[in-house]
Amino acid sequence: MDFIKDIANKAQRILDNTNSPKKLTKDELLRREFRLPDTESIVDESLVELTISTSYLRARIDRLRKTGIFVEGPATFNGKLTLLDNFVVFKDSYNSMACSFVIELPMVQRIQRIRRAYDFAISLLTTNGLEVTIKFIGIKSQCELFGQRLIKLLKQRLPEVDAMTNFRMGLYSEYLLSKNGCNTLLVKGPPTGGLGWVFKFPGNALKLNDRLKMKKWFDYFRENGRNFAMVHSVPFYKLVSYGLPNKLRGELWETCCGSIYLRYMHEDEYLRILVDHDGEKSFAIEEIEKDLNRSLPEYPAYQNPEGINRLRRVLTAYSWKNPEVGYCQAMNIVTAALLIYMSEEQVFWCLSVLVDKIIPGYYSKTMYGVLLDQKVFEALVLKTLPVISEHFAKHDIQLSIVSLPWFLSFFLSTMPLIHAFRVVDMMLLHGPKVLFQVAMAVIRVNGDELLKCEDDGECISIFKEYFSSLDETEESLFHRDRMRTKFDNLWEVAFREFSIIDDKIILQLRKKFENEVFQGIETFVKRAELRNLPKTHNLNTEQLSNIYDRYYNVLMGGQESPPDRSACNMDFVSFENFMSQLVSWIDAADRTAKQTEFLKRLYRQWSSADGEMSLESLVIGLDKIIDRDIMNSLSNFISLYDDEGTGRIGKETVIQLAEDLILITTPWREGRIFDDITNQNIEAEIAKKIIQRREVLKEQGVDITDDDIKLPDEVRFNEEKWQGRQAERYLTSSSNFLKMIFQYAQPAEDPDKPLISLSDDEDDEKKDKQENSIKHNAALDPSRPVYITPSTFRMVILADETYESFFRTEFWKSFRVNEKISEKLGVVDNLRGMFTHFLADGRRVAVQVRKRMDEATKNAKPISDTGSTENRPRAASSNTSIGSKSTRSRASSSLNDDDDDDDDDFGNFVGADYDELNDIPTGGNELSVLHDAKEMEKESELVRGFESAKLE
Amino acid sequence: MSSPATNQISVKLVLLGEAAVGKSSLVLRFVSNDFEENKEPTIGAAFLTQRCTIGDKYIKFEIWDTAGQERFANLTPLYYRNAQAALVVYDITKPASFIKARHWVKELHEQASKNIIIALVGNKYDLTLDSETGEEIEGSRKVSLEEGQNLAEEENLLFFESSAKTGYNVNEMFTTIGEKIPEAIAKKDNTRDQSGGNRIDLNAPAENDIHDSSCSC
Repeated sequence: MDFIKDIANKAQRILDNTNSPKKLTKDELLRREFRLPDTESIVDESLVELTISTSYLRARIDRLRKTGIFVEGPATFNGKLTLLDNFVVFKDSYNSMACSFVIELPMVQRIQRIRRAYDFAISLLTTNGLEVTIKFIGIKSQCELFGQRLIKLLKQRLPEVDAMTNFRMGLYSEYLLSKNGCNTLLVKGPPTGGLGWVFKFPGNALKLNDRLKMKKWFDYFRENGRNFAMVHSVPFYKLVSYGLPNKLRGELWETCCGSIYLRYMHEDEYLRILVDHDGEKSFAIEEIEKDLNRSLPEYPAYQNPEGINRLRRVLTAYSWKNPEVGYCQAMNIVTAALLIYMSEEQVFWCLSVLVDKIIPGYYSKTMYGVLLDQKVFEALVLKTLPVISEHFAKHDIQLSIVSLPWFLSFFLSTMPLIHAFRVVDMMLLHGPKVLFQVAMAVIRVNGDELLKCEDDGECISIFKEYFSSLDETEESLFHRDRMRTKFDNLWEVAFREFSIIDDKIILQLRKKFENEVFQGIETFVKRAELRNLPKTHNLNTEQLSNIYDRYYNVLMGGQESPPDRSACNMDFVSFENFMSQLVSWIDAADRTAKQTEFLKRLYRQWSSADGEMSLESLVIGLDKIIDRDIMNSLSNFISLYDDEGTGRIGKETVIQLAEDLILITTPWREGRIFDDITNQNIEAEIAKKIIQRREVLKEQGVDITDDDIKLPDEVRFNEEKWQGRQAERYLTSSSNFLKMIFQYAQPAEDPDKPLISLSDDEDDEKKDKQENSIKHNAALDPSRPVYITPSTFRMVILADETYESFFRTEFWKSFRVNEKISEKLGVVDNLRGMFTHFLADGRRVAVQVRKRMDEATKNAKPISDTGSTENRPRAASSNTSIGSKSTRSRASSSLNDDDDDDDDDFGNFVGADYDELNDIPTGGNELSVLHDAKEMEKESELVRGFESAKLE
Repeated sequence: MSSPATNQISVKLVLLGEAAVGKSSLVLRFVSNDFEENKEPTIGAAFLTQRCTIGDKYIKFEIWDTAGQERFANLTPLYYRNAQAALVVYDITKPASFIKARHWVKELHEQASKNIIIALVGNKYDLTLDSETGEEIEGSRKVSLEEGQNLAEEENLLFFESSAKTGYNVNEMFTTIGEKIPEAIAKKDNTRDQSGGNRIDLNAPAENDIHDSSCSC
């Protein structure tokens, strides 16, 4: 179940990200506002006018009235009432601090309709005595619908009432009221939770006014409810700000941050995680073990196995629950601190809410959250305390490195514990803005001192001294005649002066610095990860960098997301995506079964022993497959089919191999890319033409030396002709391959004897064909299992001119490892991009042609026979290539198909209209061939250029 | 002000290396000649200073002792910014920490100031020796002296094997760095005058020699 839920959550997260990272859904906003679990969604909402009362409140009012003091009755609030799956929540629209409540549905004991003529009103009574009278504002029928929905959900939750009552028996607030005879719930013993009950709470309870605070909360609970049905009003916020009393602190923490709802909903999950993973080892556990003895070592419980064991269990359980975070140093301190006031299970859930919701990214593998917030903090200092900011800049003091531990451990490792707990109180209620407010106040109250310091060291000692003297009294900053502690001053500055720092400002600034921070981390992570890759033989640093970018771009779906990914493996779908971007013969749009099958093979063969495709395994695989040495390349390729690692590849697999070859060579077969052979033939033809022309000029008596021959800037050739020829070659090769490979296949029984003899009679074609087909069929005969060896494969490929050339140059080049992810351009831009490539390429062709021509003239007689050019031995120049043929040919073909209007932009470079090479411009008379005026103009320009070049 | 103070040079030194190789312990040994078995983990980084006299120079080491946990590595660029010296520490009984050290050296060469002086330090030398006989315990050492020396030679680093526990080679590594530093600073000052990284403190207030101000941790 959790697994599915996890996937659902992840999917939701991705959806949320894609929708727009800035805009939260209505459900999300509401959940965030009321700290509700992620599973809640809105059922209905309505504007209401309501009053809240309890018997205690009424009794107090009566008492006061009897003594003659006039007191108003319960106040009326206007706002929005929202019904969710498990909760009904309300917040006053005018002053959110005045009244808001969260009631978990099983807490509703009674619901009654109040009979009224014109509007719809109900009264709710909760188990803990809250009486809410709600008058709905709006169309009556809709209000009634709300009521019906509420009743329906209440009925559904009815079976949970007992569970909830049991759960509440374990809460100190219920015990407190029960003990004082103010609770319908009878709680016998005091629930204990935190280590503080055994090892004492930090600080002096008397000095902390613990009793008085307890009394205040007792009164508050009686009149405003508690835990699962509780009203937050102005006194509530004040009481939290005064500091929570020891014994209630744990429960109030989980109430404030909403982790109590999770603990209730996921009863036993904590223990189950511990049991399920009992005895398991993990990297996080190793790291946790290192720090157990070094977490708040001054607190007695952590010099004791009891405390250490609790700490170990909570941190371990959390590392299993959230493996993406695992364990981060500082969590040990936070957890150790929470455990003083809370039970293990309470801490577990509170930690979850903290890490996932309140400070996301702080403890992540890249710690992007805390880094980002340091930037935000520095910006806030610059904005509100510019003098100090300037001073720091002048003396090269980097505030962020000083403040980082403050944020990371909520001052728990910085301030004396009793003070840091006050920060935690506020933070669990108000969220991360509290950290900023307190940190700003620290800078502000130390401003004069800070302006004197001249380096990091002095700055750090100022803070160190300050934090250790928080108990000292000084004059109040706000009431000059009063004395108070430095901490009280700090507190007042933080929440009075810096109350302007709200969630909105923080979110805005986070957004502003997000890219900068994320990119910084990206580069760092990338550097580190690339350094960690094994040594590659064929891929250089830049290519690895390109692969890295594409890998994560595919995994992140191209979304801007926090740079937080470790153990990011690639699943098959992403791999398919990745390959379709990287490799020219994989069509992203048209995913055929054949293609998927081949990619599955690659995926299977490349991924590590545990079946995971990591960046490392991908790089190793790619590095092998793009080997430029043809023998290595062929060996690596055939090894993909050696499924059992026996060096024998069975018949079925061989057929698959042959089909895969057809798949891989598709772009060449379809003439979308010209291969080396075609290119050389084209070059040869051009060379021939130019030489012929030179002969003509010579005959006409034009005196030319070798140097006078200038090549044209552009080349024309009949693309269709070459496409056709190439297609033919590939088709022949693919059918030959299948034929040949089975000819040389060996029967499984007798590994040494080929299925047919190698000495075929070449003269008697007919007989040969006949025999071949028979033998061929024999090889396919299922009753006769055959296999081939890697050397058979190599031999057959090397024997085929086209396939050999393909593996020699085309195959490794088809992996576009040089392409940067940032060069991903739009369709139109793409075309332009290719056009420029083409320009450059045309010149390269020209250079090649010139070289050939020189060679040809040097070798005395020019080659005039077309046939001999085409059949020229390949070996002579098989290693010279024209470069990025793929782009060129793609550019030309797309030009021909799509864009007639733009033809003139490219027209000088391709022209299927023109026959052969007749239009290499050598003189003005050839202009007559041109039919397009625009093109003509361009052409004549080029010709002029050509002629002037000739005249030099 | 006495004349030596005018010679005082501040040296920003950063310690890098895998978790629990003894970075903080080396600093503690150097700064307060002390050793603790269970030292608290460093959150972010700790800052300490130590003044010492090397030759005729007064050097104030400003030491940034970084957190070793892998994920804190993202924060280290904050600390090695403008550092004039770095100690890259590994544990000679843990081969993985040596690999990590290699990465740190590369990172520094790529990213830190050009003239940074890097010392490669193989710590926990004491673990390889029998405390009774003083002889090497067979198999306890996992990274050989040669491996360390080779890396140091390849990458042009100072090299030490040390023990924070016994104090072996601890002062030596700081002294050697101190000796090398003035040259580097002198060279630098010719080109850029007192800007940024090299703070030459002309009027440093008289402080305790051992001024330990741990960064709020």
